[in-house]
Amino acid sequence: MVTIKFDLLGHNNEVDLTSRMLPHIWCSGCSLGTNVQSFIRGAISAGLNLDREVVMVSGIGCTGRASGYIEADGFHTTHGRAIAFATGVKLGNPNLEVVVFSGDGDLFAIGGNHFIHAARRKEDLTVICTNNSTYGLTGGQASPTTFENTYTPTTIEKNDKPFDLVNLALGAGAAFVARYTSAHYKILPRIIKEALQTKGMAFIDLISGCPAIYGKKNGYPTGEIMVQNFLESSVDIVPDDEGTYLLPENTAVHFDQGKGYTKIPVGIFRRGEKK
Amino acid sequence: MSENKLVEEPRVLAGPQFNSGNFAVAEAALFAGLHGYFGYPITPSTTIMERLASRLPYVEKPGAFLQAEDEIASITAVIGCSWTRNKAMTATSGPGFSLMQEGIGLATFTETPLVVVNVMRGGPSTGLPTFPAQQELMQAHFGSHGDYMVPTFAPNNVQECFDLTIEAFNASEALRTPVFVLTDQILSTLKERFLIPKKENIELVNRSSPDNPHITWKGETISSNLVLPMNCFGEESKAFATGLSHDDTGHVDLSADTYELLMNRLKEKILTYQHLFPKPEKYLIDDADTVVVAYGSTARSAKYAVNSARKKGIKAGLYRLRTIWPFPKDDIIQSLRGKRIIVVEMSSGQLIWPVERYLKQDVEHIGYLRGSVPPPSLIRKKIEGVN
Repeated sequence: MVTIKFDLLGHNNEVDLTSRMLPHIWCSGCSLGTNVQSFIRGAISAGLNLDREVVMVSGIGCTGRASGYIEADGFHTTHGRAIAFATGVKLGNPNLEVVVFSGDGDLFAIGGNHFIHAARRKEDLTVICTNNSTYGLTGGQASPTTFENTYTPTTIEKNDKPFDLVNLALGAGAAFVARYTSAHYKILPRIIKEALQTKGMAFIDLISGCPAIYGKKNGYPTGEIMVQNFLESSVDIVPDDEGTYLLPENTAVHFDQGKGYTKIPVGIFRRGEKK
Repeated sequence: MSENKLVEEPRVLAGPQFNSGNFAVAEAALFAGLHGYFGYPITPSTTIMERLASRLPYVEKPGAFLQAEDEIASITAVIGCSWTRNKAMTATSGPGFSLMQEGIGLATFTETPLVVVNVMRGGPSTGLPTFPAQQELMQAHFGSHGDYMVPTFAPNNVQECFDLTIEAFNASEALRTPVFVLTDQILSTLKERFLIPKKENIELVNRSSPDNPHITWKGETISSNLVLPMNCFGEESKAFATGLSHDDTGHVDLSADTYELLMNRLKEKILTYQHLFPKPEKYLIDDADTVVVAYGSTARSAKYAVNSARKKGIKAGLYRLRTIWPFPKDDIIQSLRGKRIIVVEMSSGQLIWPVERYLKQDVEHIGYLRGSVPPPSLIRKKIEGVN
């Protein structure tokens, strides 16, 4: 039997991780590792000094812990309040690059009101939503992006229709709206860089998976299958002639219980003015 | 560049003023160096917000003003603004104060300096807008879940609305804690003469930092073991905080020792410096047989009643609390134990709890619920023993 000496293993971008908080709490196969990695690479490529210029704000849940693992100033707020907190930070010191890094339950259930209003007010924030369609930390209950006809411990028979986060962000007035999956780790740093450099609210719907709980019941039982599922079902969007108007049926994510994701429209849905 | 903007006003108005309690609160906040106001309109607190909307962004060293989508966002944004090393506040009334409890818990646990002004009106729920009441005394202490204590000051005239708001900012900065100012609907609209002192005559405290760990307040050095120097966002030292149990660096630590130490320190830092908080007003209590205990607008009526009773030869006095929490238990025991006590409040029974608890004797009570201060005649009759 091989014993892995975890303390001797290195991490990519180790200096930008709060090493004393590691190992993290996330399960194997979880998207959050790649999402944090992609964010760090994106922030560095945007020329930001994580240590001095960036404030990482997160809410509650698995994703909420990310602010504690990234070696930047940060705040782990109460459930749903990441955007409200970030608004205060940005108005308090507009020179800071304020990033909200949180999950779908946190940002769109309990925190939904803060999201739409911050988008409407054009708060200069970058909001990255690790959208895994479930409440992972509390055990896989339904979130506002849980798909119809999938199983969760709190929606035994049926689920209501999920939010299409891209459409929601476009409607609320976000300046930059993109969707990719955690499997797009090569493209993501570039997308995150562009989001960070956008004036007004930049939103990334980062489709992610929770193979340990939600995926196990609903079609992608391991991280490996999840990544394959993401890549196979991702479809690059083709904007219409004006490049502005997208029908909801073109932006919605489709999911089939047992098969996993069947269609994930990915790309940049709206580009905003640069800072 | 923009012709529509108001002419830049001085941040601090000078000299005597004739205006309302809410006006005085807003001007005191500017005096104290307020940088961020985040709020949601609710009567009778709204005129604080309106005053700051027309002042804060347009004065010298302007600050940020935002009407947020609700009170939860307001208090959370206040916390965020405070972490950029700026003084921040909000003002609200009963229903909004209930919504803010979540953020208040977060602020106490992350040791965030901020000020919340609660202009009390009748409750519960939407209650009795917009008539005065004093039903949030217990909520100020126990409103959020978990054990914590927020220093709570209660003015009873417009001058004190000014003075105690400055005290609140100083206490919040010195001790890294939220501080409440409890006023009520009467004080919010009551206009009186008050004086804005010369800037050099008022001490203003700024929170400690890693570079400047030892700050003083009222001549006393604040212990950096009890009140940790605050790292703020964008500065050299890393700043991190969480609503989870945490160690001194602000990072998550759920161990029993860390949690117990943290909880004890948070309590200790408030109790250690409570002698610096506003002192109670003791009016004719030395020779008094009967003492009325009250705070806020109610105490104005009570003082009138005490004077009337004195004219009739009855030895009555008034003990008016200016700091509600932490409750001045040693002083109240020393000053009042053994005397006949009448607690008067615009609540069916909140102030009476700590008074009874600490005096350990029978206490008479007027719990007035008619949307106004209890009339002096009612209090005088109680003092006289006529019911």
